[in-house]
Amino acid sequence: MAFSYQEHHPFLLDSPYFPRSPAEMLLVPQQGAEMANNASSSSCFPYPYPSEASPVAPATDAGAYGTSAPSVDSHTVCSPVASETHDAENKRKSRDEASLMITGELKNTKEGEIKKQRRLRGGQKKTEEKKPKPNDSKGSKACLDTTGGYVTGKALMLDEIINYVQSLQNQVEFLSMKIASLSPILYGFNVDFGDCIDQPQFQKLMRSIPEAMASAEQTNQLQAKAFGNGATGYRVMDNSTPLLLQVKGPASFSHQDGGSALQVGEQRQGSLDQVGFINMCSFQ
Amino acid sequence: MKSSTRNPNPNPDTPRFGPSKLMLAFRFLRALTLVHRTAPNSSNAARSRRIQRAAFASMAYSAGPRRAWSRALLCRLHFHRARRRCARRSRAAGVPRRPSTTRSPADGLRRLVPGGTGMDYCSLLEETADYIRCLSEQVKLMQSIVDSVGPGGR
Repeated sequence: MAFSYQEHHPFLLDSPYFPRSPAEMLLVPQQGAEMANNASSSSCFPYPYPSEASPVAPATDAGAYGTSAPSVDSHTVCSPVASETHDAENKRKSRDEASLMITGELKNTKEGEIKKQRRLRGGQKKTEEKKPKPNDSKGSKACLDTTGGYVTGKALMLDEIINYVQSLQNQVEFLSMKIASLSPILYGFNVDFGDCIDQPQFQKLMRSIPEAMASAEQTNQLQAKAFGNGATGYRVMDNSTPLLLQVKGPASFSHQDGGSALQVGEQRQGSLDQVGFINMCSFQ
Repeated sequence: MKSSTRNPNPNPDTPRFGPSKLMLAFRFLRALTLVHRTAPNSSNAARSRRIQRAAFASMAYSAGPRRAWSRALLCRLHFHRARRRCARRSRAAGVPRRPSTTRSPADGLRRLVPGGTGMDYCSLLEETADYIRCLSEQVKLMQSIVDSVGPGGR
């Protein structure tokens, strides 16, 4: 078989196109079966040839057959299971081609045509491989433009502001409803604030607030003193007679501080409205 | 507590509040008394609407006439029937008319802030900041009123 191939095409032996062709052709069926079994074995072909070479392979074969008849003979004669081993052969041929293109040895016009076609197809492959990459970069750029950076920051800030203003306006509406529902209790404001509409009266009221606060503090101090007295008396009684504690303790406390408590109550009644107004004004 | 325009607060520990807040509270409470005086027997919804209008009016009055939003708010609140005249006046006062053909993301904000339809972006943001400040003060005031008068207070 190999001899017939050599007899038919002696000139091909010189070219490195089929340097090991007779030996390899004999070995091809086993290797092809192996390659078919694990087509994705990337030890020999790191690039994804198996997937892309399969649709292209028939065309290359057809071109090879059309232009160079001897190769057909060699294939038919040499490899009985050529259909299975076509892929592997094509891969090997392409590899040899690459070496040829590097060395630049083209002896036959037919071979030159084949090389041209294959080079073109290689170019197609390259474009096919390169096509998705710029798409990815473009998509990432578009994503960056749309999702990140200054524009979205501005839009987010505007959204936040709009939401905040809306929430504040809704709060005002809700609180006005609440105040309207509380209106019978709020009627007391009519008495408190109906008189101080004018500005000087309002200023007077604001000046009178510190005095009211001072009186309130005095009452607080009085209360504290009274409670201290009561506590000391309580302790004395506790030390002397523990049995009379429950009966006489609270009674003595109320008796001692009755007058001060009454005063406190009066002062509180007098300054209640002003204190309430202060509490209302000191919202913060 | 003791701070006023003439006597600055000698005690830095007590919370300070400026005259604008005081005036805001005073105006709002006066408006509340007016509401209760003029319409004592009105329905709850009508009273709430009046109180809301009073709140916005007191806010605008306390902010002063310098702010465009307060002017626009007062125009909207008090001159319902003369809104066109008011708009013409505000435009004549120097607020440039924005071309309505271009759409921007700030249109939502223009709709919310009173008087924001005739503003450029920078002045819109300024007015929005001031409006938010006054609105938050008003909300705090109303919340304190509700807390002090409601079932939890006093």
